Amino acid sequence: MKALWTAFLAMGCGSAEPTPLAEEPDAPYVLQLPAGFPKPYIPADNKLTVAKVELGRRLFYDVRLSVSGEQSCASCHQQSLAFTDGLPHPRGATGEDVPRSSMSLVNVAYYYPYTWENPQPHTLEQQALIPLFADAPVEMGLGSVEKQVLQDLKTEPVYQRLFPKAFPELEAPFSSDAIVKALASFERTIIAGDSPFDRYAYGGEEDAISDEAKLGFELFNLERFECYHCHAGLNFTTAFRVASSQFLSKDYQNNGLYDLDGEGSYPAESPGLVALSNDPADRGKFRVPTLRNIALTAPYMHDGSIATLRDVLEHYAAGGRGDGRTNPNKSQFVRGFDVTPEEKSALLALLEALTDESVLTDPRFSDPW
Amino acid sequence: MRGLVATGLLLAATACGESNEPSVSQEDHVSLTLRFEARVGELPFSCGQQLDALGTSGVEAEPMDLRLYVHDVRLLRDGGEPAPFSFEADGVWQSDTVALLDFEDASGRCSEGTEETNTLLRGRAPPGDYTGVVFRIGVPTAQNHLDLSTAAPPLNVPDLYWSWQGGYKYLKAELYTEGHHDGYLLHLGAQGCGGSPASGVFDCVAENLAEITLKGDISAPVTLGVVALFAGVDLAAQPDMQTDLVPGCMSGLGDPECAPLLAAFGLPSGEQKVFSLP
Repeated sequence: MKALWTAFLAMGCGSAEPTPLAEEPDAPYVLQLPAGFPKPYIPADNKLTVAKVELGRRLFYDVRLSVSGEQSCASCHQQSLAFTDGLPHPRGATGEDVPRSSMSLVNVAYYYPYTWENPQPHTLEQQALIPLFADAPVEMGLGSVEKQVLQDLKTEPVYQRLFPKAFPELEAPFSSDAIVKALASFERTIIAGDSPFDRYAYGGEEDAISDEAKLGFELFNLERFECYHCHAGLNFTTAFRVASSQFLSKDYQNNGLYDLDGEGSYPAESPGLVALSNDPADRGKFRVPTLRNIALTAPYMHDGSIATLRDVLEHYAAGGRGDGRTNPNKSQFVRGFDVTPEEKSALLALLEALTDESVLTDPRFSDPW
Repeated sequence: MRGLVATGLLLAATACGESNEPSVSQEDHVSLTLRFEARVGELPFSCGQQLDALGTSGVEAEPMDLRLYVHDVRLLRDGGEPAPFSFEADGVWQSDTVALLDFEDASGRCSEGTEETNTLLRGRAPPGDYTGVVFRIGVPTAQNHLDLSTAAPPLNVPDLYWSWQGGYKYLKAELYTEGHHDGYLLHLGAQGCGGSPASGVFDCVAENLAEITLKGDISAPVTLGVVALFAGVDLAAQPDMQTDLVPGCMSGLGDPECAPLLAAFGLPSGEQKVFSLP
């Protein structure tokens, strides 16, 4: 009799789940792409679903994902600053200085490669492993406490619901693999294409930006300034990938910030692509960042060593900074230029027009806790 | 040779059998492949190679890049109109209208290129006895001022694009030399373009769409001669930073190195010297 009773319970009453949610466990998440935006690349083994994105958002804002229990991804990627942190470089969960500045996650789905100087991660999933687990420098510092953290997450009712829902195919959904897949899924939804410039360029609204900004855009595309060579296309960077991209970008550039030894070297804590390639020609080479929302993501450069956009323009007008001007690896496109005050203002007006305010307050990207 | 070509096409016709072509007029078209090869003198071009005596001052160089877009391909026949050769879109190298030929393989100094190469144009044409081929280098004007980010392959390669205004680099040929570690560069494209993305209207002082006409056996490869391409310029020359801002030519109006480089392609007028067919 006992056996029959147990079987009856198993059949009828289900698990200790709270109220089941309305959607199917793996309802696809349909990206609302702005006008002119192509489909981003999404790896075949991590299809975008509603549950994964929700789980990813929860994890993104969860301080339990740091060894200190005090930092979340959002600590260095703050929505109000276009998912950066306003600092030259951040501090990790153990107090260690992180030498390269926090990168904006807006439109991160359209990037390739990832990070400032490490070409190894081929997907956002792989990239997420770095801040979570790396020990040089320590960012979230989970390397030694992975099991404890997973146990901790298991005690959270929200995760008890979301992990199995997001990963119904996994027998043991509480895993680091699931964490990075969920984080990547949430990150892929942070898409912004409603700046005044977008309305001008893709929406056909001639009045969306000022005449000054239009002049700025013309100057941006001139051989005299060469901005467009690296800050090219939809996301204003050659480091661009979409679903139909058949070749992957390998564009790393040196823009003449330092030359410590006359042989192109940058400060040791951020030497550039050379750190992985060992090729001296890669000293001081970094991935090109987007210019979208650039007015909000000061300070600038990989180490936050340039404070304002006006200073950035001066840097390029001078063909580099100090000894950096004669760095042997400096891009041939950073050769300096003459620029009038009116032209400077026009370029700055263009850069300001790249701010999409909606992404700063969009509740879909906000802290759900 | 001509007999061989016609037989080859007939064989292709029988082998192909049914066609999925929706257009009735294309039912009798057959598949045809046009081969290209790049040579440096007698030697086949390849990245990682040491090239001797290029340009007017005979400079040593290593390849850094060699890629070009091709469109508007037609096949010549005696006593008749040229026949259209339509590309088969493949999502990588060819759309319906434009093809990308890529002779570099990212080895040696070609590290900013792609490992993949493409030396073929694959398409369909009416069966016939062909005596030559005509093609244009570059991207048709109607497609030259679009947004790279949303363009279908092969117009989605960032290295081969400038901007909405400037359009695409029709041909990118670059050499690493002692005097030019960043490369002696030929980026052939439209010159002096202006316009507005909002209106979608652009125009250029010179479109520079070189038309190449070659008579000969189209079952043999079309040869791109690297020596002839750079024959008219001094590869050792350094930019004076006044009128000459870059080593080579990026199709800037007023760059003095552009004229001899464009002339090799018969631009703005005259005989082209770069391509040949046996």
